[in-house]
Amino acid sequence: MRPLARKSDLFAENLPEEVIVYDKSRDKVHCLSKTAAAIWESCDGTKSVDDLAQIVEAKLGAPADREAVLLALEELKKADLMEAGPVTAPDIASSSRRDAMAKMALASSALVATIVASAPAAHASAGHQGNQGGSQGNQGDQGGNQGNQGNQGG
Amino acid sequence: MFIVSPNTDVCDSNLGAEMLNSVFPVSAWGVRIDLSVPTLLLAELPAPIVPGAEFDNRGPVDAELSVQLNHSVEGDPLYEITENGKILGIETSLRGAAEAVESWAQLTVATLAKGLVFVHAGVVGWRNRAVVIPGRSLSGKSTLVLELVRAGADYYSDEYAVFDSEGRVHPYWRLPKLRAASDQKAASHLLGGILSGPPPIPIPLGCVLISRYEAESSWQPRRLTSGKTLLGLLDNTVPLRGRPEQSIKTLAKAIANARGFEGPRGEAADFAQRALALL
Repeated sequence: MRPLARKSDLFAENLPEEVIVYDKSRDKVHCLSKTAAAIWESCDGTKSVDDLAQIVEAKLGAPADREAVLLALEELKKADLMEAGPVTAPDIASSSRRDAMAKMALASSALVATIVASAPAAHASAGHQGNQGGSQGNQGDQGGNQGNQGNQGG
Repeated sequence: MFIVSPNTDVCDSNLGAEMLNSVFPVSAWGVRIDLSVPTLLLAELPAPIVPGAEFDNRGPVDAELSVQLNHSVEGDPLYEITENGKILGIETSLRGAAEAVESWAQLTVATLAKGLVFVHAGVVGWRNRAVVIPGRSLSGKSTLVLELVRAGADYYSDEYAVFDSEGRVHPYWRLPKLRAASDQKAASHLLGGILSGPPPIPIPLGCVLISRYEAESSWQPRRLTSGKTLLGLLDNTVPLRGRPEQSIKTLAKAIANARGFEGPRGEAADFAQRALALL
């Protein structure tokens, strides 16, 4: 099955190096790395994984192979940003995953970082959140700022 | 400063003085709200209840909040808080009810303000650029802001960074709120005079500092990409669910010429010194 990116109920904003995607149906925000964005934008259902690897190489000028693309597709799928695509998780052995990560210079940077858009009530002062809905935790590597301790106020 | 004018002519109860409700309509940041609260609660509310709020009884109301004083079987006071006819909760103390009303009013304005994006954050001005420290309640924003002011920065806000459509940051002109009485007193001493003057002008965003407290750590942040910087702001953006496109576009414009940093911080004074040196 050739990968097809999901485009419905999404709003995307291009930044110089990344793409921010808001999922209106799930109230999540994703930050796609340059690599993930290049792959996601090219997944029109007609291109193979090898085609995508070539596209990434051409667009970014950095080496990308099949494993690297599969890894990115897996991340995009986890973020609910794909309609269809290859079943990737079992296909990539851990050594291949490490190779792919290294090739894509991703050792310290996530392909897709995600947060949950909190309901407004989650921003109420502590102890006064009423019953308007609750805060939802964060996902991905962008850890949130809640729960800090040690300093008072604010 | 603006003064909220209670309209005590409008009463909806005749059960005794402490049971009387005063209705006062105000608008702030383009949002019109009506508050109906027991008269005895008025003295507990800050004036203005939302920074920049003015008495305003014209035009359509965006949201209504009512507090009704009832009593339990044992005779204890029960403050029933209702938003647009829907019960939000019950407070058992006057102080608690006042805090709930203030919190509701500020959050409602932050959620509904048209053309503006409110991000939960502390803000100071430094070299004519805004330094924004996103974080929820109890994340230590107020303490950090006060330390930055002590270190020479201009006070803008300890609660919200208010972004306009050009990406500029407006002051949210109120006295910082701290939990410890001694800290609150110090804040009043430091900022009381400043807050009695006019608020500073809106300024462009200079940097976003994302941090969490870690004992014995020292602020040595890593530089964030623009995407991660934006994500840090969006994680604390009040109208994100209601107005995702406007929120993202506004904040993307704001960060276009700004820098973002992230890392654990230790004590606030250390953070303030290092942060300003970094900038």
